[in-house]
Amino acid sequence: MSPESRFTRCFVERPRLTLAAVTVFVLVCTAIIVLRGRADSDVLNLLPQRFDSVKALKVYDREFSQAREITFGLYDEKGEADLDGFAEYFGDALRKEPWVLRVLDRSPMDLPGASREIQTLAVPLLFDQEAPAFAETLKALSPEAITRRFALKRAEIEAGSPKAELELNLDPLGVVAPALKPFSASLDNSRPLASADGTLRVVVAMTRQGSLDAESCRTLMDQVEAFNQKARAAWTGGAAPQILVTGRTAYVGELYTGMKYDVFATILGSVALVSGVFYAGFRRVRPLGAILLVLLLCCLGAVAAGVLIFTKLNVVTMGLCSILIGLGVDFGMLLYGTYQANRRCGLDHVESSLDSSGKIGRGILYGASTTAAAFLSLLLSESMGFAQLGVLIGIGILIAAVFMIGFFFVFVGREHQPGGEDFLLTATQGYINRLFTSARTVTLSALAFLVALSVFAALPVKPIRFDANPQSLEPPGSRAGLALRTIKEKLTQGKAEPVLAIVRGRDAADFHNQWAAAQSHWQTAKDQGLIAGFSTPAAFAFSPARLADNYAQLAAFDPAPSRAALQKALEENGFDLEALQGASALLEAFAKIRSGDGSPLDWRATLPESSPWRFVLDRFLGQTPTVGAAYITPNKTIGNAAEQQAIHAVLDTPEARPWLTGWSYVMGDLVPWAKTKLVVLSVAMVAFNVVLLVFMYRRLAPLAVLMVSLGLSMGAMIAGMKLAGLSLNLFNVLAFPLVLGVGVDYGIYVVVAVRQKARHALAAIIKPVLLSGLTTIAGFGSLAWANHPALSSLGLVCALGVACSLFSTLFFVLPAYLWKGYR
Amino acid sequence: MKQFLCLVLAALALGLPVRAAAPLTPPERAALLGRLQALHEKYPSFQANFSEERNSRLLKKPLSSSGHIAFQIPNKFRRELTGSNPSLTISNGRELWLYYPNFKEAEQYTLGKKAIFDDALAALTAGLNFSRVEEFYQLEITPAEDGGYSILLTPKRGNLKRIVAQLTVVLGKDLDVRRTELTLPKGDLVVTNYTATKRDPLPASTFEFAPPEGANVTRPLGK
Repeated sequence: MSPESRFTRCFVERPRLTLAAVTVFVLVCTAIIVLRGRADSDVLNLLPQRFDSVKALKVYDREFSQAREITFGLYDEKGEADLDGFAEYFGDALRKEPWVLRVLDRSPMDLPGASREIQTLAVPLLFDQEAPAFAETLKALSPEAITRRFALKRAEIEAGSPKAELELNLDPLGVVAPALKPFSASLDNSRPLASADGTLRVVVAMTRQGSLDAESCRTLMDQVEAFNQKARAAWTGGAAPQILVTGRTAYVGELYTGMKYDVFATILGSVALVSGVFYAGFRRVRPLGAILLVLLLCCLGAVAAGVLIFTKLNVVTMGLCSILIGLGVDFGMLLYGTYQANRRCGLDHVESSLDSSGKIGRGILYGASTTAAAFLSLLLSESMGFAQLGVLIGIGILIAAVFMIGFFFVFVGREHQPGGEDFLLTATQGYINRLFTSARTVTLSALAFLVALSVFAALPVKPIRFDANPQSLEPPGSRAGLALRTIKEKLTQGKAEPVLAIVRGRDAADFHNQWAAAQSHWQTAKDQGLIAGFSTPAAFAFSPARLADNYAQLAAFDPAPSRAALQKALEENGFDLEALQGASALLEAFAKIRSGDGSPLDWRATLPESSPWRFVLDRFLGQTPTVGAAYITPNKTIGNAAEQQAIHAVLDTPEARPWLTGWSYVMGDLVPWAKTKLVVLSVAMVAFNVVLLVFMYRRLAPLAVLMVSLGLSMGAMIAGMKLAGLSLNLFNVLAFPLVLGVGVDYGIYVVVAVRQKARHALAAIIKPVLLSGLTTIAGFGSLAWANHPALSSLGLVCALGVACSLFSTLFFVLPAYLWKGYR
Repeated sequence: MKQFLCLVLAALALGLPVRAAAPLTPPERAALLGRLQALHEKYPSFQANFSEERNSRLLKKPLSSSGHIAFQIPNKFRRELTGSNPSLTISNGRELWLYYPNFKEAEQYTLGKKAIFDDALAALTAGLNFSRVEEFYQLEITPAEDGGYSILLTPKRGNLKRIVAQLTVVLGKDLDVRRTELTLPKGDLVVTNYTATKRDPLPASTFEFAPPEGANVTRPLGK
């Protein structure tokens, strides 16, 4: 008795003990998943982590408050609405929402409190001036200068000067404007809020969202949706514009909603398709239930193992169940096909079970090994999400093989009566009988067909496009994606997509030095026409050395006489003290700093949380004070790796060591990575298959036939992609090694089949091979219903590849083996 | 509020009619705007003396000033402020100059470069020439006792609301501007009374300006 049969006997002869063990297994797995499992919805975790551009993107996502920002695009393509009026109304209504922290719906200068906040922001900037400039500031704050200035401003106002009024509003003491100059100079019109053609207004809201997890995002997006509807309904100023919503929260919320749909749609889809194929093939319900029960255990076991290994499981692993069902059902069908044939020959339940395991068990274990290896090869993908998916399916498929051999017959039960011969078995028998007479013809015909397809695949006709557009990473029809693209298109007006540069300083001095160097380096690049523009936080990367110098100068300055002079000058010239309180606030800040209280120098502490200036600053400065981001506009959007390298050469400077990133920049790394992975993983898979099959085949010729079949299947798959107009993307390139790993299984089953002496035994295995192929296609194909582009594109290409492998196995490998008499 | 109540009570006591005139109906309004349009086509220029009182939130007390204004449809104007701190504001439709003789300072603005600036100017001149007034404002026109009209202009669009909260133009029986009341978004109120209105043609030089030698010229909004 083979080891596989002995293994089966352990369970078939002890059904109650088996059911108890299964119950314990279910309880343990459920406990692990419920108590330890967490979902990782971060799409960035699908990308390989070894690239600095990807790491920088993650730093950007973590450090910069945009993660909690929601961008509303008020879009009026036909020009029917009062966009400015609606934007103001919308912004005001948004400010009243409890989930909103602050709103940017117009220039911060136009909002109430702007002048007071400017004074607050100006304090650290004043202390970051060069020593001579700071000396000038102190001179301007002397009692004489203040007295002179307000007399002059009074006269200018009497003369009707709008400039004087503006100055008194924003810079009553006349020292703030020079200090703000470096700040405004380093912003390159960084955040436009209206499109030039007047069809779009942008309103940005910083939310009070606590957790950034998927559930929180979805809950917040429900509130946003309700608010939008309410705002549109309550608008009385005529036609209301369309409200577009985007931002991380919108994307994740959408992904989460889609994810729930994906889990149900793909699992139900695969269960329905697989059940349909099984019932069509065997006309029996009980074994189908037994298979699904074993597969449920496999999914539970795989997810529990995943939770133990990774703790947080990426959303892409939700494709696990569909793929496992599609693959694992093969083992059940193969076992049941042989079991059914044995029962028809008069063997009882236990004898049939043991014989079936003995005949097919080894093949199942080999098949499971190659499939597991194919999926485990995703560990080499360097993508955390896909590595997880690979490990989970690898573990799941091995569990499926072992559980199917062990438990399937227990679940089928002793009382089960297999049916008589069915049309599929009869048709398979007919096909095999025909092969015994015309194996050569069938082999050569299939070979010619597959070669023709492979030649078509190799020809430069209708070449397969590699989709390097970041849009390929988002669900089709994504509202957040559409909103983002519309807003970008309208606001950038054909400007190139920016490159982000993240700078992390060791300390404040290093942060300052790096930004100073970067600013100077990029200014030269701009002057030379190598880049179109840039915005940096250089002005807010304060120099500790300058602060120390200016602090020393401040010791000789007494703010008290200046405050008295200010009071007197305002009264004498008839100014309203309250309207010009910014002037006294600035002098008070200087007095505080002079007395040793440095709090006015920390804008993060002094600027109100609701201040719209924070939108400007948070875009450049991370939560960690020594992390900052710059936005560089290249002359054109990066389209390939060469252009990415060229912009890297322009922007990189040893004094600043910026991490460059941005979606178009990241694509410059990812596209070559994906193409390399396609080759490396496929070669690794082929090598593994060869090594494994050498042990099974022990002869070169049949192995060579199988390898040729695999190669031609891949060619046919590419031809199919060309004909169907499918493009390659970052995710579906991983389908190639998977198809190699899964496709080889059918060859293994064929070897097992041709070793049977009787033709009916051969048919009893080939029929389930056919059904296995169909269920695997159904399992992968059900992923096409997923919203997640990673899953849907991977599922489609895998389904096509498995279909090609199945065709090649049945019409090329099987007849070739029968023709040549390979065993 | 108290003052208002006192006035109402006094009026009742004296038996004076306290009745607000009804706003013009749409056809009446269209007819009036048509008349204004015809008047401006026939006499595209006008000039007047003005006296102005400005309540600024920056100042404790209102600021009074006076001077002379000249306007030519559609967008040329000249405004001379007299007194101890005089100034001159001139636009020829392409450039706008502000000159302060006491400080020898001149500010130059090129029109057509900054949308917000141009919108403001177009909106303010629309209040004077009524040519495209309904494009910028909602109008409520009320007939006055003397046969003239009081026209309340409320900005339609958000960008204009940031510059003007409300503008009232009082026209005489002859449709000449008698008074304007401009309320700014931050609460400042500018009341201007016009006298000695003339509609004689104005020479082109009225709207041209060259800064005097030695004047410091700045461009606050850039080139």
